Amino acid sequence: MIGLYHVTKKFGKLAALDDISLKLENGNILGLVGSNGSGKSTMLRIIGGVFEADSGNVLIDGEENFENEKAKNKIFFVSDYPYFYNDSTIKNTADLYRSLYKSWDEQKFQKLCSMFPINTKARIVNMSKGMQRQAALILALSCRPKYLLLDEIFDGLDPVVRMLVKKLIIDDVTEGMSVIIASHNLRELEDFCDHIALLHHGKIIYASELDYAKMSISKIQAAFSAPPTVQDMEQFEILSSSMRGQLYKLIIRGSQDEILERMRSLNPVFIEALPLTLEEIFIYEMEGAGYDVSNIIE
Amino acid sequence: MTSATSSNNLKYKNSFLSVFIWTIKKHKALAIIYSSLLIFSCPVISLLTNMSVGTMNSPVIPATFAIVTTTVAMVMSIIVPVMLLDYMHNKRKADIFGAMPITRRKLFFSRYLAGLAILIVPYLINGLISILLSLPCVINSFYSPTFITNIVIIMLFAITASYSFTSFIAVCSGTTANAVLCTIFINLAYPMAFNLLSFFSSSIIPGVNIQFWGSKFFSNFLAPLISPYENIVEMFFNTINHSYMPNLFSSAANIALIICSLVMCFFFTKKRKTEAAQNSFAYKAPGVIISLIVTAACGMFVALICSVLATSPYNENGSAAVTSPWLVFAIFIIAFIITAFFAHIVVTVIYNKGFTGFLKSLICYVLVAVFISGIYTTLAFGCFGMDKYVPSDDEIKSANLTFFDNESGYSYGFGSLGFEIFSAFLGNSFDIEFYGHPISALSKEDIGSITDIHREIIDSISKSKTPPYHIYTIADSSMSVSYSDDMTRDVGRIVINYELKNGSKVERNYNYSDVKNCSYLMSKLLTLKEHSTKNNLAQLQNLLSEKKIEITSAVLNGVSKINIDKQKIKDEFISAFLSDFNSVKKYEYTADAIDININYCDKDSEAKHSISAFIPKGFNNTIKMLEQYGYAASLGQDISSLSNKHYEYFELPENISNVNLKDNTVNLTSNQNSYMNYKYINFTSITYYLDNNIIYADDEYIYDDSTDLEEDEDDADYEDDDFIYTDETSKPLVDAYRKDKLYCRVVYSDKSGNLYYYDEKFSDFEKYANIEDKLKALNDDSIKYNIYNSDISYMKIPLLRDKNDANKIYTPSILQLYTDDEKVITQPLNIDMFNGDENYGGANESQIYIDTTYLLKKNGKTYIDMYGP
Repeated sequence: MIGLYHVTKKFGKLAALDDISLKLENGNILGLVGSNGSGKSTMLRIIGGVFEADSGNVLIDGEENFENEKAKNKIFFVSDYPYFYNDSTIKNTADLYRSLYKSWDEQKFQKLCSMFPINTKARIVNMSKGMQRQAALILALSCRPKYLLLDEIFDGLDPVVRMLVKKLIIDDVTEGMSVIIASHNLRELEDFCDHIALLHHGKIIYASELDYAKMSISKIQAAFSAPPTVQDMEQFEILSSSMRGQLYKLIIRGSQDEILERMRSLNPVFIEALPLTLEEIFIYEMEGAGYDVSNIIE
Repeated sequence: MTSATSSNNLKYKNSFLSVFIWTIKKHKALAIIYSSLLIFSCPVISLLTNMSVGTMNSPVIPATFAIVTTTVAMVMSIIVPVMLLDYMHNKRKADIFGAMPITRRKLFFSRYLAGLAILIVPYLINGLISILLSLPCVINSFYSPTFITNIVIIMLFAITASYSFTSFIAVCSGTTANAVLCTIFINLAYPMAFNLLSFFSSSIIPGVNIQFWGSKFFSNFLAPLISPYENIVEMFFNTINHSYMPNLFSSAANIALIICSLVMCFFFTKKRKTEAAQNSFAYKAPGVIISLIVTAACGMFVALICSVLATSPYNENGSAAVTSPWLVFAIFIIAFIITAFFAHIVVTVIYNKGFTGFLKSLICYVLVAVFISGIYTTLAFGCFGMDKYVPSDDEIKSANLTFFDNESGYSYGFGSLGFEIFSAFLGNSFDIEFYGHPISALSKEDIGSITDIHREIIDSISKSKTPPYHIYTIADSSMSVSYSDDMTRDVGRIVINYELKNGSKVERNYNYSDVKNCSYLMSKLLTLKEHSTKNNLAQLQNLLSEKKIEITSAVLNGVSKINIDKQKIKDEFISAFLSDFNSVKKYEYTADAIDININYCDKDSEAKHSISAFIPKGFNNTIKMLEQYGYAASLGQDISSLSNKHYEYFELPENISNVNLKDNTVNLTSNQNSYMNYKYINFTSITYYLDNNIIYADDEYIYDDSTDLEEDEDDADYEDDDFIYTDETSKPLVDAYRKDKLYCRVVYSDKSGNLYYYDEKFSDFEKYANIEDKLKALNDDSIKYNIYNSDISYMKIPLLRDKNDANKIYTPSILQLYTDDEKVITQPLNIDMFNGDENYGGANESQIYIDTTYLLKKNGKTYIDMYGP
């Protein structure tokens, strides 16, 4: 299990992470989403042992991770722009990881090299961004870490490779690996993660299982013969609302069944619940935190 | 766990080793390039040079090894840490390495050690190859195993120090550029600042030279890039004097720096924030300190130049540009403050890539300005009374005063203005050797005389120099010297040393021309010299008679220093000297007296002492003894003026017969500098200039210091002191050599003064002659010996060391030439008189002159005088 307990990290006066706490059990995939500069990469780096938290604890299976070789041996961090030396190839870089990670799987390495369409003897720096990420993934998965941290891993990958990556990750997750993946591509995360955490200005404003998240916010379309009053609507925690003619589109926090039942008491002419995407959850939660387009433009 | 996984656990036991090995493999190209550069510089270039120069004993060979390999190694000592430790200076690299399952300390030290291996191993291998190649060379030449080994050892410390220090700077820096800049800045600015401060402390207060304890150590401490060059140059000069010891202070400084750097790295790597990558600094303190040093160094340097220029003579009358001391003081301070400010701006902008934090950094600038200005002001105002300090007579145990004649100074074509700047440093930092007349005072009366003279000197100086003092230069030594006449300078000195009863020492060093009324002072000094010398010698005799002391040596201070320490000769000398001293009516010092030092030690405590004395006219026994042992000529003066006799020549053993030459007599000259007006032939030119000699064989050249020189001043021969002259008297020697019938006798003496000799053809001396069977003891045939060959420029005279007793050295002490028909022989020359270290034996001068002027007949034999340079 990965546990962050009241972790704070500052860069000068700026608090990149501000008293955040988070847990991730084994065998789960956590999607880390947030506005730009919200602290996603910082959190990954703190979990990966690159940065040291200014306060709080980061525990990997109950052990502090920073400067702990044993704990770090369970983690593999792939940054958003992995670095490779000018003469690095997959093969010679694998030599280092092979000697460092006790869980290195040579068979898996060979298999992955054959699966991905890249030359293992070619210089990685000469490859495209997407292929460089593939190279990093090959090395990461070959180390068979217990916890895999990925920062913007899908960026630059073509759809086929993206599907391959997801499949491979899921296969490893079923074998017990946990993954934390930070990304702005919510559509990719949606069908892949089972937990999400929303960050904004260094704080977690929302964290839960994805299904629960989808279930805890409802998108309702309803039409009323007589417009409901403000008092009628006060019973709902409305995150967002819009109206087109007589048709109301409401984003309400709460379970779908409960909200539908309560809405029916207002005698709508028409009412239906629509599926909510992760992107919509992100946008509406952020609106709640004051981070929306209208605020930015103003 | 798969089988592949389990096999990995066996392959590498720990992360440290994994990273170390991977780093070595990763940078093997760098190691190969480095090794190639080393091997190419030496031994390859050395061997190629050897093929053209023709001998492995040329100093070019070790110079190549020392300078080129040093430069290669020092450059690499910056490149390697920059390459291996730049993972701390790039955020992307920091992510990769920071996420690895290895602690930061282990990561740093594994890469540090990998870099050290890359630097040290190739250098060591190259050094070993060079040492092996040097084995066939003579031991005491430049390219000897000893010399090369010392260079290798110096460099191993220097490389490690430079590398460790640069690594520490890399830990403290946030970018590679800052790491490199800091390293270069500190290596240049630190020794500059240190030496400038040392220079100020020795050049401002009249007479005072404040020495920092351990200055050699501290001046090299933070300049590991520069220190090996200084050490190597020093070793070269020491090698000329047959001393092969490197500067231990420099190596000690390197070791201290290594330890400090590694300790700091040990602590700082753990605390270093990874996110500091690509910031200016991870730890600001070293950057701030370096900035302070650079600021101070630049400011002091420019202020020094301004101050020196302000006080330099700028016209033919020798007037200085600025005469007011307060104005000079102000010039220094203002120049320093302005230059330091601009230096501070530049450094801050470079470090911070802009003016970020500039205002805050001004605090450091102010600190530097106040500190250096404070030091300068303190020195300029006499440093709390040091300028006028004279110890009280009761405090003084012994006093020593040495006055140096006004000899010529020198300049080397820097141009008059440049000379002023250069000479400011040169004159005050280098120990210019002049002919000194020492006076040592042990009695209270004589000590009182010295302190009186000291106070008079201070009073005299205070009339012309008042605080604030400025930096003293050679230019100040004589205001009457013409500005254009920079070939000679009035640079005489008076040096006073006190040894106080509390064990401390005080030294004052005054320029002769600062002291007004010099003739009065001079007569006082001479009176004091006579008086104190008499007292000291009387005391010496008492101590000798009471058998409380033992004379260790007597040193004759002529043009050459002659060290008489062979037991038999020394005893004879002291006996003759004291006998003359007791019998002479008046012990009076004259200009042609020979200064000597008598060194002795207490029999009980073995404490060492030295007194100065002189041999004046009328010390007949002493002079006769000097002539007998052949010391006279090497004193560089016409000792016949003292003895009123011609030379007494050393007589050969009976089995060498002598014949008369043609009737040739040459008049002795007198009064002039002894070797300027004589005809002579350069001994070594017999071997080297022989072909040229043919051209001039029928000409007579008289080495006259006027017309002939001017006529032939374009002749290449005159560029060299080794003139080629022949005349009728020396022609037989030349002819004999050409026919390979010139012989040489070398006589050796051991420490007890026993003599051994052997004869060899002159031409065979140039080979490594095996003389084991040839050595004959003049009084004992049973001596066993080993041979060490020494190269004394053009003539090789073997040195001998007893096989059974390593402490028993036989030094060549007398050299004599003669033709095979023994028609011409030369006076035996005492080689000892220009000997270097007796433990290594052998003469270290390259030329021996045969003075054909002293061609005398005595007892029916004709002798040709021969003397050393």
